[in-house]
Amino acid sequence: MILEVKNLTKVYGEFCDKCLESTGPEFESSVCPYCSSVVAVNNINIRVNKGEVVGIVGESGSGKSTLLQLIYQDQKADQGVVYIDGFKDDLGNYKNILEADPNELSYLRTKLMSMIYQNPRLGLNYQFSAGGNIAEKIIMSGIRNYAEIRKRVLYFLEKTEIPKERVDDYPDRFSGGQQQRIQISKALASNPKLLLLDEPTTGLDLSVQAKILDLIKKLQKEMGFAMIIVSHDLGVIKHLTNICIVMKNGQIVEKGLTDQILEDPQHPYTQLLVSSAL
Amino acid sequence: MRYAFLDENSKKEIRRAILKAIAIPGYQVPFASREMPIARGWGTGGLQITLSIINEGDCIKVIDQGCDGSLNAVNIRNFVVSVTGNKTTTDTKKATIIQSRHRIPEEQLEEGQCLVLQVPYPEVLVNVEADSYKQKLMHANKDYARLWVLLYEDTARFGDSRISNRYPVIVNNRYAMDPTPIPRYDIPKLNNNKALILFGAGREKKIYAIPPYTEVEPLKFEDKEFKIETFDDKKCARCGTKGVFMDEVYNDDGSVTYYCNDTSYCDKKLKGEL
Amino acid sequence: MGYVAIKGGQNAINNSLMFYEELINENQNLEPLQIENSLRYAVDKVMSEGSLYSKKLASMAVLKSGGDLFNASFLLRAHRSSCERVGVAKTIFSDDMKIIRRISSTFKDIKGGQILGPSNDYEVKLILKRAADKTVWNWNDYSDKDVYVPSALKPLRDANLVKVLQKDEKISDITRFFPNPPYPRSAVMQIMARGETGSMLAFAYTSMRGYGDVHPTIGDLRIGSADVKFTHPFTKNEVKIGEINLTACEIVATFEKQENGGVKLTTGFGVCFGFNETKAISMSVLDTSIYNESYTIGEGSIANNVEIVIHHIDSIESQGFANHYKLPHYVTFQADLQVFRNVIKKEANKEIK
Repeated sequence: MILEVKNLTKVYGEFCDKCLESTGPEFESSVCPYCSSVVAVNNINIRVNKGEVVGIVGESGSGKSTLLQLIYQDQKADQGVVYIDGFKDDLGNYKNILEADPNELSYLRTKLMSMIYQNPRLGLNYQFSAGGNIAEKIIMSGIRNYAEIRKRVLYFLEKTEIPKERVDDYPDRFSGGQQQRIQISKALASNPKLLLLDEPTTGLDLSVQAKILDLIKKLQKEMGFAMIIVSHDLGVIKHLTNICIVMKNGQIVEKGLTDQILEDPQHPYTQLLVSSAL
Repeated sequence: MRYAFLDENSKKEIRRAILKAIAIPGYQVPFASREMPIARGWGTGGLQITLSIINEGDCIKVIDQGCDGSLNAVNIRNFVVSVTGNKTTTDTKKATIIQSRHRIPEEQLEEGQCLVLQVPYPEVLVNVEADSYKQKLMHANKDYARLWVLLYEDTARFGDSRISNRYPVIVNNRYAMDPTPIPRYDIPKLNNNKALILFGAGREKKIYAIPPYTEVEPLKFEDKEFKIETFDDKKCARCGTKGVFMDEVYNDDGSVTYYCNDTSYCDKKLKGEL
Repeated sequence: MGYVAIKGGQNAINNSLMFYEELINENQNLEPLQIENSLRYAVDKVMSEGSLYSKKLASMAVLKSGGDLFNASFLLRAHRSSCERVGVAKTIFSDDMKIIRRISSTFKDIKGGQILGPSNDYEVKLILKRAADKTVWNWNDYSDKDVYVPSALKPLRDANLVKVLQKDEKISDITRFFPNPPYPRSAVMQIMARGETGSMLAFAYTSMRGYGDVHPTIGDLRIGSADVKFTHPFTKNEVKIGEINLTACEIVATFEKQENGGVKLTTGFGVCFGFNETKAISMSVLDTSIYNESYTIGEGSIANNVEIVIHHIDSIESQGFANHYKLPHYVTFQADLQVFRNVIKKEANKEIK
């Protein structure tokens, strides 16, 4: 297993004892009727194995992005446990990554997982050049040889089809699609085991979207990392993933092989989603 | 006036801060810096350290930019003498306490000597993160990625770091430290030095230390040379020495002359003592 | 108190002014000339911030304001508004100043030498101790020749190593027309030349401490006097109409890659009326921060943001506004209270539900 998520929960607000049982898809609501808290992620369980590409699909507000942020720890979870391959204690038992200290978190986010955001502003540092951004990840994984760092920076830029001559340019001098690619280079530069992608192509031109999706697919096959990709676009899910999870109102309504879910959706919400796809 | 100006409780607090600093090489220890009769930025931190560790038997040397006769050095030395009555010297080898601004003396220091450096910026991360809480987190997590990225960016654009003085060093393989605005030329002297080196930042209220025989390395890429200042074949117009750190002086007629920056070193060379 | 009659306001004002006069004039036996001689730095600060060169008027302002230098600068500025503009003097070049003090931190020694002149830099800051023992001096040992020296940075400029900013097409005059953004540099420099020392120092300090380019080096700091020359309206001859004290400061910051590929040293300039080194240094740091690329990569720069700097350093404006809060605001506050009470009512109703 690469990633195991158990009972992951995030509630904005008071979080009374009735919150989790009185919200969800059957109530068509994420808002607790007793305390007005918003239950964004409600007791989620997920398991990702090596090389798997998992898609999480759902409408806005379903909790899918929040779920990723909880795993990557951009936000703090209220309940739950997350295990990741490579993060164990001295006795060989898996440690809950949600309780990692800042040192460990740094290790987790460099060596084990990387996140790619919908908005490159969140994933890139605009005070560094494109090369500098990628170099940061490489340096944090322990490499202190300039020639080696430079070589790897250029390697990853090449992989994402950014012209090498632009390595020292600053991110705001690139197009949106290119900034996204720099983000991808940066995320991959430390060779993570798990890549998290939050709506990576939403907002880009269709042709650019297609190229980036193909790129991600190619890199995944080459480098073999596991991936969780969040999108509200079924086309993206279909193109890239082999496992699909459907979320609504903070809970999982359907889970299974992507092909099966898209061909033969069981849950009424999934059916609605599939039928409304263009 | 009380011996060494400061009251005994102040000296106690400062000494404790110094001891803690020595116990954690390169770590900045906060202290309640007192206002001194010289302005902040003129060496009040170094002065507080000197006045806290000095005793009747000490012989002090004070230099600024390598020169005993420099105004700042003269001022500080006069003040210390006026509140202690201690002996002074310009001879690097004879001093027990050397307070210096921006240079480490050319002559090697010995065990038992103490070098007190005046610090404008105790925080090595100040060029890459201005928020003091974030700085503290970075030090705690040994997270110096930003310093490395800055080095990468400079190397990619200019071939080398743009940092000339205050070049970041790693102390005892743990803390990144600001060595004060000494030139790169003096950085190698920090490594494995026989003397105790103390750093005092009065305005920023921090004390840190490098105990004797501590490993101190400049923050650089493995495959890049640490370039120090050179003056090619320039000779000191006074004593003829080459290969030391020099002063570039413009004369009234427009010509340029070079002199040894370390004036007491130059004096000794002239007398044939070195 | 029942119905508060808002009459008798004039009486109250008169009484207040009389109490004020008494507060600051209890032992009124100071002449403006004494202020000019003994409190010269206060007088110089006020001239520079009041933006009017007159030692006499500035001394009177310091006396009249009881030492409140914000108020004194204000008095001078207000007086300025009543003065008619006669013409524009010839440009003054700091290199042509007759100096009484000139130092450079960039080189140990420079053409013309390091002239310390009158300065409290090396004064030991003990209140009860005299700065120097005057009885030992013999004025005949000192030269009375006028001293003129070129800038210590001249060798670097002559070698074309220094970045030269583009000149403004037309030189602004912020007292006649306040420009729209993007503000031309001449306008920014004028605003700073009359800016309040403490405010400018605070912003410059942010740059020095890490929210900016950190540590510049003073290339040339000088105090002295400059001739004010003017073209006589009738004879059309150039005449000298006076001499003013000035402080000028050039700093060197770092190096920057230029658009055309070259690498140049970046510099900054600060100047003000009278002797005020803190302000000139601060102004030069701000000039550098605003017009050159920042070298540090930390976030949150303050001093390089021209909007933050120029709108907040004029004490007549800032101090005026800060103090205006003392004016009655009970109408606006009543409006605030109403809105607040409505929200409370709504919350209370919600809970009842």
